[in-house]
Amino acid sequence: MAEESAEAIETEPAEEAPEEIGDPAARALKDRFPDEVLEVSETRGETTVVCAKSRIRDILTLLKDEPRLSFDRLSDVSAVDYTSYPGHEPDTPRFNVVYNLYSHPNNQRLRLRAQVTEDACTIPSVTSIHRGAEWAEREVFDMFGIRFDGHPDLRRILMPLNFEHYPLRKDYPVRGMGERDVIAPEDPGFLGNPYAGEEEEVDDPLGSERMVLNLGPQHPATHGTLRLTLELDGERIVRCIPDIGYLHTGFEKLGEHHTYNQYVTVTDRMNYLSPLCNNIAYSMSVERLMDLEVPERALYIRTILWELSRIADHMVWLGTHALDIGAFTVFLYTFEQRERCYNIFELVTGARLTTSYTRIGGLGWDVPDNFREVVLDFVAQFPAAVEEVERLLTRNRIWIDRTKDIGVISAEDAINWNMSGPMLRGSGVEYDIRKQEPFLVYPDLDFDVPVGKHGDTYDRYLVRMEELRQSQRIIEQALDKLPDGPVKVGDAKVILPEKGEVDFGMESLIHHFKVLMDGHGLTPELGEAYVPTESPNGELGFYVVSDGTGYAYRMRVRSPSFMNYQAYPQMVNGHMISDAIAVLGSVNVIAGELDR
Amino acid sequence: MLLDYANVLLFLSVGSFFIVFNLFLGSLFRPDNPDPEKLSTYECGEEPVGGSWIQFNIRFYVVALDFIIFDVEVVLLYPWAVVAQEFGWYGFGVAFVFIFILLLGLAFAWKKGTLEWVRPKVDRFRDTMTRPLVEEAA
Amino acid sequence: MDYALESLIKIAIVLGVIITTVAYVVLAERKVSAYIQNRLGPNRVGPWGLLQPLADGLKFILKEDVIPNHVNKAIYLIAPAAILVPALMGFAVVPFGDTLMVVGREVQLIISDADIGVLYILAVSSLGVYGVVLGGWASNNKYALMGGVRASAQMISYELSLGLSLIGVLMIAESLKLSDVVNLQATGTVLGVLPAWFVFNQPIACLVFMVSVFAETNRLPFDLPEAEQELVAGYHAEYSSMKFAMFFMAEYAHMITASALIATLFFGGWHLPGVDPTDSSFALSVLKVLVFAVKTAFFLFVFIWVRWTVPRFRYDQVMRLGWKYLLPLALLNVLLTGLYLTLNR
Repeated sequence: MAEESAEAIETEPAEEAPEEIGDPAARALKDRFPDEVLEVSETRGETTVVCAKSRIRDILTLLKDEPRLSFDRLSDVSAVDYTSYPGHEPDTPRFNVVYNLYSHPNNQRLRLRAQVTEDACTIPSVTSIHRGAEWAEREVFDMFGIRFDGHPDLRRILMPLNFEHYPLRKDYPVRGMGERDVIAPEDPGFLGNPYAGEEEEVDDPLGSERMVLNLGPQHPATHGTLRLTLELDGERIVRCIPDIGYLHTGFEKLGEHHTYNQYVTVTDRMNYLSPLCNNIAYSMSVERLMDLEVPERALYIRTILWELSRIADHMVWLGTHALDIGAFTVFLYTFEQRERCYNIFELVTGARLTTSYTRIGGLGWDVPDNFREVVLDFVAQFPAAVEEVERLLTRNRIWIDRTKDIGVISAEDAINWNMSGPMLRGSGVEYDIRKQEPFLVYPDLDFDVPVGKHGDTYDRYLVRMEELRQSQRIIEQALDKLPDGPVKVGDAKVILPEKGEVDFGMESLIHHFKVLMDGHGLTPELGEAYVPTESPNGELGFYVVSDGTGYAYRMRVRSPSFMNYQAYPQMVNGHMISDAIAVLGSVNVIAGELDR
Repeated sequence: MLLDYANVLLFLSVGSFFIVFNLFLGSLFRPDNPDPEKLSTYECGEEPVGGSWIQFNIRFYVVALDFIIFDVEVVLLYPWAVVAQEFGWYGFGVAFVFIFILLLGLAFAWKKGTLEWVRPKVDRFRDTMTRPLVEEAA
Repeated sequence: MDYALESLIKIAIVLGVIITTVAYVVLAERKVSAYIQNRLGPNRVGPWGLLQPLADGLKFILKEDVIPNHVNKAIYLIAPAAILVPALMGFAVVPFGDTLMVVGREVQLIISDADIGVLYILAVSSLGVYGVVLGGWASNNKYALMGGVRASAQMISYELSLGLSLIGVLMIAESLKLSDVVNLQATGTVLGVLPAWFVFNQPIACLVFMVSVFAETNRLPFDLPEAEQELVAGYHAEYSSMKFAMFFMAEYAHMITASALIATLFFGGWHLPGVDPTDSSFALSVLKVLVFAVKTAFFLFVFIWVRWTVPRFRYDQVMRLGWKYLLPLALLNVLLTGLYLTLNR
């Protein structure tokens, strides 16, 4: 509070907002913190509150504890570097830390932007209010150099520990600063010995010398490159420290250097199990930013593909999860189903994995004529496959013993740790973005949201199994309702004209030229948008900030794996190594999405 | 009778010869290009923290102790088993007492918890945070 | 002299058959698992992949043998042999047929009809754990160490129920000779219809024995010592080339011995109901060997079948099953058998 920021006062204290503030949360904040709340804007159904950083903890506490508001989940923490943003004055704060809040009881979202200057590059950490902010804050620190006061473990998370720069700052070039030539040979890696001088009370009188074991990055059960440092007492895990960033690709930075349509191809690589979900989720954010109404046929096709992706993703999860617990055969059964899904993707998009199917404003092209039959064929044989796996596992004594009461997380904790998707539902929270904040055409479709009871690995397994059946229901309904019509918006300023027209029509040629020309085609207005979606693993969303050019000013990916994974140490502490593997499988960490 | 064991010995020698021969055969053909990376410890591609020759959790040794006690007694049952039918009620009674003592021993070990493996504490989620949270400073 | 020659020939044949069988059980495992999983399995080397074992063997011989820097070299080198030899040795007392007339000699189809055959088997099979523990410890690798420790605790725990389950059988057979055990099963019936196989009059013992044998051979659901998804490869993580092959062969040799034992002790060995056990004509003797082979093959199939069907136990669950279920059950079986025998004396 001492550094009651001078800059907060310097920035024009929002002149008495003449128009009524519609959002009750924003209104309450304005009432309670008149000095801190600088600006409130409500655009495209999203409320943004800009505030000073000094009392951010009080603000979040109020938002969480006030019964009318109860913003109990901090869905994301990110930051924006406004250095080169249009209208940015040198004396206004350089950074905004962006908090994306969600209220489960009220089904509401609120975006808070706290201003941070470059000179006093710190902000109070909110991890004591929302535990789930831990990794997100570390990432902001890693990428922007903003320090979080009171953070329990403020280290770099994605970049190497000895990295010197802050890559998402605007003054860091996308090609890097030559550190690849310097760092590689003597990279100290992780922490050396992260335990020096720390001893923990053991409740086991027969306990003995601890063993520190690296599990990953090259380990059969990590399915990708991630690392766990386990401190073991015999077979029991005393402490677990995850280390991520092995697959860090800089997708967010790339977002600032690709045009909006180019970036679709980058999103493929993010979650390599369900690339179409990423394509679609990304396109939806940009479409909201540009106020585009996507034709209904495109929405239906997107929905069908979304659910097929969910099936493909869950199939890989199921196979590898079972494999990790020793049921080898399930793996091949599920992969057969996944191959069938991929055949459909190949038929529709031309690629099995790098689908790149969406365009801003619709789809690349319409689905082929036999799409309906092919998908119907798939859904017809699919239940039998799920049934077969269920027969192998669901009532299998060993499977139940291995998964029941393992990796338990309560509903309250799951929310506090910012979990989403099947992880959250396994703990009994009925939150499915398809129902609560509907997107695509989900409101028109009839499906159930399975919810677990105990929050253990077994419940998460059951939830995902039921989701498979519900996905199948959704696909069947969506196929029945699939309307005719275009699959792209009619706006020639957004969508490339057909190739044939370009060859013979002057007007089309000009449109084609303009769409592709820098700064002419796809240029959203100044602003920001975030569309939450229910990806197979949980809440997936792209927070896009536009500066009016053809490139995003900031591209933040709120990836479910990243958020779900951070509570992992708490879920496995005290368990055995075998349990750690079982829980890892049930979290379903996808390294590409985890590290981005 | 002894010849039977001679056969076993013969079997042992032939078997061992087979193994040594295979290793020898391999050494004639296989390449040998060691390098530091190949010769390092495998630990998922990371430098190991601490050695592996440590004092391991004592529970494993307790199991070994339990085993020795029971195994010796099991061996004692064998001679009885072969002649059990001849001994009749007296033999059965003796064996019963013996097995009963064995069962008592098992019950004792059971009660003492040496057969148990440490299970996580009920409220493990709260009391095993990675690091304690730093309280708000003013 | 003749006797020594006869023994040598028998040993050579048995060893040759076991080694070949090991190679083909590996192939069978790959083929069976492939069919269980809707795929084809190896089919490139030879017809139906039949030459695959040969290719595998050649590859093991030609692979570089990496001996890491940090190992305890002497023990590291001994371990593979220490596990393979006992795995093979168990077979020395298993009767793989009755007798066979060859060039005027009556040859007993067993390498060593030792009069304490059962004890011998228990002794030899428990030696196998040394190879695992030594290999795991000498590798100086944490995964290997944990594999070794898991293996030792698991194998000694199940050793108990294994030994106890046999006592019931021995009480009826009144002999520790395996040939006597088989001969007894070849005569008489249980309940008038079933052959006198011990699976029918010692069902509890049979169950305990089979479960324990799965644990002793480190096969799924008891494959914790080498659980790939947890310990990567467990105790043989640091072994390569021929030394790795020995661990690999030992597992399968162990399986073969175990299957042969299940067939011998509980399923009548070479006995086929309806065939006169005393008739030792050449054709019948060959048939008996075949019967034994088929029974053993069946249990090998069961091993494979189980592996590709069920998930893996956790460590404490394995120990609980061994100590709290199988051990009391085996003890109970001994008491019940004793009671029954004494009552019916």
